[in-house]
Amino acid sequence: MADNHDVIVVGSGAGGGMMVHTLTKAGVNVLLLEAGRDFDPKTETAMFQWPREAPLRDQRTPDKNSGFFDATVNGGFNVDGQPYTTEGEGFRWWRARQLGGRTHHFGRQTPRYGPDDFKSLTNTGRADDWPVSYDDMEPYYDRVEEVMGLFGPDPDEAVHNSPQSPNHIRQEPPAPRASELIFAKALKKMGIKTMAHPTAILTSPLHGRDACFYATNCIRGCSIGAAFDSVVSFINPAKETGKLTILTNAVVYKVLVNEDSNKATGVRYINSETEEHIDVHAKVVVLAPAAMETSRILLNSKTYNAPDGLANSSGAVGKYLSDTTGAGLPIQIPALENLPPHNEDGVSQPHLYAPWWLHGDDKKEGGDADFSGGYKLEVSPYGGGRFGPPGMDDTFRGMLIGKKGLYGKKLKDYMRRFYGSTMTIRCLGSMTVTADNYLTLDPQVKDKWGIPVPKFHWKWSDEDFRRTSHMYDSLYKLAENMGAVVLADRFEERRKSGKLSGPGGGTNHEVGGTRMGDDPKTSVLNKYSQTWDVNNLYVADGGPFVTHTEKNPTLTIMALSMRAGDNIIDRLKKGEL
Amino acid sequence: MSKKQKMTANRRRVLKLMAIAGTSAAYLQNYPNMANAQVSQKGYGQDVDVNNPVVTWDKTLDANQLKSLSVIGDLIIPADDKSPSASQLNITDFVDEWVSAPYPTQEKDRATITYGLERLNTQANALDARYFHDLNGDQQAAIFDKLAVSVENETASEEEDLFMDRLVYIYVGGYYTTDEGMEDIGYAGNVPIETFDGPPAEIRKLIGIE
Repeated sequence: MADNHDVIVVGSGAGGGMMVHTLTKAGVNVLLLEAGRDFDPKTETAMFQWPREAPLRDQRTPDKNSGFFDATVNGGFNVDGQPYTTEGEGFRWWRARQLGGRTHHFGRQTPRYGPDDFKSLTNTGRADDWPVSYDDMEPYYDRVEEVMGLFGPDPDEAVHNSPQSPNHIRQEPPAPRASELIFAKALKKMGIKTMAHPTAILTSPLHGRDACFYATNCIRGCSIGAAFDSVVSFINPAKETGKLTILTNAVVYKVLVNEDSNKATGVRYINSETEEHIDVHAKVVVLAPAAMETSRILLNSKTYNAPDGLANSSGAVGKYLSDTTGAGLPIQIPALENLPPHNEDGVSQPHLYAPWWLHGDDKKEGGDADFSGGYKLEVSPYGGGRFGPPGMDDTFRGMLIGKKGLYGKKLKDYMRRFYGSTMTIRCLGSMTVTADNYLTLDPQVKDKWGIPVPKFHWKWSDEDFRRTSHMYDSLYKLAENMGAVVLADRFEERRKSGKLSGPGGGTNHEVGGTRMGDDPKTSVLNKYSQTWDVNNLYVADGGPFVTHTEKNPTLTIMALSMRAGDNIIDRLKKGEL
Repeated sequence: MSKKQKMTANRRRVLKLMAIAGTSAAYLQNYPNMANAQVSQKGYGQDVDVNNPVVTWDKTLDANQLKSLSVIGDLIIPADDKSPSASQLNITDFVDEWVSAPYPTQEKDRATITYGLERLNTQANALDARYFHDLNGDQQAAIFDKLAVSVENETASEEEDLFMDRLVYIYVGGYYTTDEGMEDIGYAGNVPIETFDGPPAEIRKLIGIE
């Protein structure tokens, strides 16, 4: 392959796709390396297929962790021949091996981080401040949202620290479902505001993409382009510029460096089909293979000058990992029993949520929220209710909780009466970022190509426990105000055991490992996501995250990526790279 | 994986199933398929063609197991004036697909269910029948109801409890994902619509939100 590329981008998901789009639109020549195979959401997505058309009624299996029809290719929490190891409270690492990465299997929730979120150390004494502020990020949030498309609430309704997309960008949200109307009414009684959840799904056509037709679960992917993904919104338009070359099945494991000039010269990858090891070169290298993989690649890119891993003079590579905390409560709402049939599939994701409501004086007044960060509340799309065709994992498991010995006529009557009235209400919350969560290279275990694999060290903090405990208190209060019956009541038992969270990584929101900062001694990247140590090496996935809030990370990953892309374009123009 | 490792894995699995069942060769004689369970059965893998779903494993229950399950399926989901019974929709075939699948949850269910069927046969033997399905309808209903009541009262053994739980879950899942089952519980969706305007006035009134 001719090495005439300006920039190599590793990974084609949210961060890599955004980078490719930004660079090629500015006329920069890009070589994109994707570890998985080519993937076309237009032809490879199951739309309208019923659970009964899949083996095991689309039940989750070790092969397809979100069911047969899920969009994930050669991925999930375990990838054949590409293991990882864990220590402490455990960690689960979701991966996908396909063009567009994890943007196909994606709930599309895209909230913005708020002003306080970038000033964690200043405001709460926890973790660190970001080297960027909301004011720095706001124009990038706008620009990403314009490309991606989303529906969201009226921005005038926004609450403190949960800014919303402006009216000239956001589209009108779908109306709430019956269960969500009850959810909103209950929260209003509790003095908590609800609104549409900002979500990267079109309700009006945009950029040649269709509007949602309110059927089919988004995690299957979207063949009509209504739900955002990296292929449709980033990679296909980038191809049209003529500036993009794509190599699939290219598993990058090392950044190549010229030790004299201290510049990255390219990357080395394994062609997963031929098993050849191949070097490619460019003026700039951008890593966006997903946060944990970026740390792994850097730690595997040892040089004479960087014996502890590339760009790791701070020792921070692989450190300060985080994931979203969460809590869920299965409930049943008598008011929703026996309702006449009505279609409430909607966009398959929550139409409403309650952004975090306790801040400053409110929080002190409340007295019980003795933790930094917060959480949001919503009706879970994966715990029953009417979010799509009834299925084994989501609908029937919940409906049968506590129904031991039920069969025959009574069972049939029960199913008729209760269908649609059982669901899960849930919280997604911040995690306090600490040095206790990190990855190293496992000294023994290697993947099928002989490359050392990551070993995750995971520990939830006491503050995470207090925050999660508070989530359950809120969920119980909410259930009561919704007039609901709690179906599985094991919370007190678990609270007493001191363990409220499962392994890390469970929400697929893992970030960190190459955090950004103002100080090269404590951070890996500067405020443009450029490594302090190697000035033509950038990170454009979840690696740069400094704190972890209750807002899903993908929009911020893309905004940081676009910002890094602007910096690369600027420096290429100036001849600095 | 080498051939030897494969055999060892299968052998280990069968031994594990036997351990769960708590029986020995006599048990396997009754259920010859169990010894052969999942030999060379393969899952559908991590890169599937979603537009052409294929069950990649063979169904493994024998004729007697299927007959007994059909009877039990109709006790769990009988026909009534609104919808057919489980056997009328051939849900037992799905149960066979389920318990034959080469995944840990399903393998465990296979052990649970085949053992549970054997326990029912033992009760049938006491009434001079070879298999549960050879009993008359009243006898079948009485034995199954006794099991269900003991599960509800939490006096059943762990194995019986699991047998009932898992069978109901798999039959419910198989049945209520069919057209007839979804119509019965009132699912109305999976169709393209122009706009999503929330529940109609009739529903809003019923849930007390005007």
